[in-house]
Amino acid sequence: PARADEVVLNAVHFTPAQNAYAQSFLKFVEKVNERGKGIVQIKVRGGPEVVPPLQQGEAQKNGLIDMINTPAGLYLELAPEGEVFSATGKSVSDVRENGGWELISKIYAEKANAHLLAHVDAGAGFHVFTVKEPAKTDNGGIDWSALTIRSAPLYRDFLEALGATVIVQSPGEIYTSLERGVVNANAYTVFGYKSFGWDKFTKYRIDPSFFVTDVLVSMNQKKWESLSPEAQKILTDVALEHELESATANAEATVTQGQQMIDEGQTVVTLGETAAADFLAKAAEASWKRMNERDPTHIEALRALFQ
Amino acid sequence: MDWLFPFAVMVSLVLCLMGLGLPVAFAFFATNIAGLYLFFGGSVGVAQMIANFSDAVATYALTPLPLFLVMGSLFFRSGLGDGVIRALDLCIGGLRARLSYVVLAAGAVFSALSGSSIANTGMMGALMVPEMLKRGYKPRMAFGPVLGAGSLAVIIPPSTLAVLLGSLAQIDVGALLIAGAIPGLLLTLMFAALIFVQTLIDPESAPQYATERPARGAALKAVAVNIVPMGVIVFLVVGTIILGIATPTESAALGCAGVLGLLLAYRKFRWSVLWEALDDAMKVTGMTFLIISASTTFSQVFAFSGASAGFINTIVGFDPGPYTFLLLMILVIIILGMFMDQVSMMLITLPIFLPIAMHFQFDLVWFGLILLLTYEIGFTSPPFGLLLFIMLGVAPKGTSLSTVALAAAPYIACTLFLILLIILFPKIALFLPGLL
Amino acid sequence: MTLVFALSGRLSHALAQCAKLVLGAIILVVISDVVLRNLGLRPLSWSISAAEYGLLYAAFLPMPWLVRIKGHVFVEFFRQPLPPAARAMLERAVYIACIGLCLYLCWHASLLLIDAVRTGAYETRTFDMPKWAVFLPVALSFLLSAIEWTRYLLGKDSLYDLDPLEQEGL
Ligand code: NA
Ligand code: NA
Repeated sequence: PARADEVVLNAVHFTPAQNAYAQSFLKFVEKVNERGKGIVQIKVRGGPEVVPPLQQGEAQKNGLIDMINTPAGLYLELAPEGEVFSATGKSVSDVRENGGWELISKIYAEKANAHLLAHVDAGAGFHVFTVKEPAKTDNGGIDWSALTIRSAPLYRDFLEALGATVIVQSPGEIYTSLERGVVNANAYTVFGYKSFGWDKFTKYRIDPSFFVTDVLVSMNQKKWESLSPEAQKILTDVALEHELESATANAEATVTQGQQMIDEGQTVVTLGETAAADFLAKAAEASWKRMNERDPTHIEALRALFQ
Repeated sequence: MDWLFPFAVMVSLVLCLMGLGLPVAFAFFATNIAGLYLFFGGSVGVAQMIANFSDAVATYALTPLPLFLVMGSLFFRSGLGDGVIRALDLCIGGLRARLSYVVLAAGAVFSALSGSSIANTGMMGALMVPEMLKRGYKPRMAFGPVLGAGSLAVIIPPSTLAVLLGSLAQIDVGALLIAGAIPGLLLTLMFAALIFVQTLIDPESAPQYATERPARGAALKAVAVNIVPMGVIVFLVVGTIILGIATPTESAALGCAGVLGLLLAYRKFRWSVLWEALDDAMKVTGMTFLIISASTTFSQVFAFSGASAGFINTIVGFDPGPYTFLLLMILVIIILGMFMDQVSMMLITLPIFLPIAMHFQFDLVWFGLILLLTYEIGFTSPPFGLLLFIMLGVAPKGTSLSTVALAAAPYIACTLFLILLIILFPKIALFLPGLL
Repeated sequence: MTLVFALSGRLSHALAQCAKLVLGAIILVVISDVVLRNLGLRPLSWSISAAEYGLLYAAFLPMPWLVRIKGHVFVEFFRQPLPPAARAMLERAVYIACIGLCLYLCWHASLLLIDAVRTGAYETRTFDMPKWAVFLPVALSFLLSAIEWTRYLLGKDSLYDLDPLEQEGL
């Protein structure tokens, strides 16, 4: 029986429930509900069928939904600084220690009316996968201009900066695009790549990976403030635990799933040392440049703590 | 049972408002607003609904719809379509209900070039229904084949719905697409048999009209002039897809260009024809997309309130064996399909059905194809059936929903029979994917 | 009032014509894209997102004109068995409901529109789409539709009164 003052929080996640990202979030919810009996409970209302992923940041901001499990990259228009989660060269725990987390939390509270709980599933980055063997250049790099890459809004500017043609599409449309040659490359994580069937077309993976996955668990700020200190503590503690556990789990799954695709005939093309350094520098620079264009206010401070 | 209240409110409200004569899209808007105030955030929810419109309809997968409408309308309005029908008429000779067969055959061909049932029905409906009614076909012989042929589009590859299902359910999309080929052909044959039986029972439903026996030369000439050029279009649409040159959207655009090219070649091109074709496409697109925007929010409120999950959980809560479960899932989709669009149904049912399917170790390609066929039924089941609305959109004004729905009913029965066959003989679905 | 309806009719018609141009433009853009790609040239990266927003405009711009020409699909299963007097009352209730709905949704869309203009918000697809451009067709269409429904309410026309001339067309 629920105590009279038990708080129930409505939550949505950004992938369909059977997807690994949603499954990870449901583990977090399970733990909160276990420890929060009589104090705080999370009621998961569903995924994209309840609020479309690109609208979840807004739904959290206006209080329609109390809690969301959504990548920062899907609502950059609210909080452009959210790119630091993917652009960072530091681990989540480093950022929590050096005060970076505090700063970005303050920005999210201000701009997205959001209280950040955790940066989850942060064990891996994004790769460019190509249909044909990418043409090499003399300096060990790749001729990006030959590629038409399917992209998410998050890494659009970076891939453009490389000189590739970039097309932004949602995951549901990538299969047909690859099959029909609308794109001849695709950028995504190794984690979950095969489950979309894209590996059938993209026989090459370009290493190294760039960025870090930027999935956040966060809450409507006002709702957060209305919680008892007891409830806040449970959520914070479980979020910290899940942040670490999910990163490890994601990193492990990335290795297994990557190896599986290699065993099935995917070839890894590794950039030469200088080319790789240049690639990663451009990745970070594209993010910082775009953040700076959108709102320069906090960029210096963020650079100091996240870069 | 706290899901029962939102379920009852939402379903009965939208049904009542529709039944009282509120245009479908507006009935959904009204129900959405009531649902949002009762269960989901009130006025904040309404603002969110408006913000969601761009996610509902600004979707590349929907692009073939207006393009195929333009293409079909250009055919029809320029007189090219009439020529094709005349030529087929000359060739097929004394076969009863020949136009129904023509629709079915053409529909199967267009299904092989279109992934969208909506576009298929819009095109075939606009092209053939007025002609058939003019020739004295009873509604069931005119609307039925178009709706049946239209729903083939999601089974015969390519199919956008199959791609969506595959990626949402993490089923191998390629295998799922190919799995639809044999069942799609089977379904076409069953539909043909259905038309044959219908004319056997009621010969007057598709009146024979006097056709002068043409000289062989005349028939050949008619084919050469009117049907062979259509092959160019079929190549532009089917061929470019098979050769991997174009997406369904692009092949639709190429099809439009091809028809325009033909019009120029036949000196039938007039700016007014193009403008009228765009007018036709604009009307059906505006009508359909408004309903899609409205029904998307309906499904979201439904999902948030727990109505859909509660309903499904109750149905599947009686833990019987795998096949009973499969039948229950089919039943759930059929009932949801009466009120909802396919994409929303998928989003709502898959998270609950997939774990069950994995629990029973169903072959996911087989299972996915069965789901796909069942989702397809929702296209033509009243009161909310997108294809029924498209049909109403292109049919003569005054055509009633029940007329169109009744015409579709025997085709739904065929689909159900096919589902049964696939459950009994999984090879029907799994033979081709097994060759991959 | 007649002048208002004449004006809103003109404007609705103009919006519908815009929707047709949008559809035509989508066809052109998609064809150019596929041709460029198969000639080995750089495809138009913006074409897909442009086509998507085109669909949004194609969904909303025709709304008021479809109200005027009775192009929004309706069903009548509860309406049909009613006696004529009740049907007439119901008809007016339907118009009032539609006017209310349109005004209410227009009001909400306008709030979002004003907010979008004020904050300069945008959506990130292949290009950044300003949000005001997303809400503008919605707000405008609901406003004009409200006027068009008022035209029915004031008895200039009946939604259920089908024009026999229209029966020949699509
Ligand atoms: Na198809
Ligand atoms: Na239905």
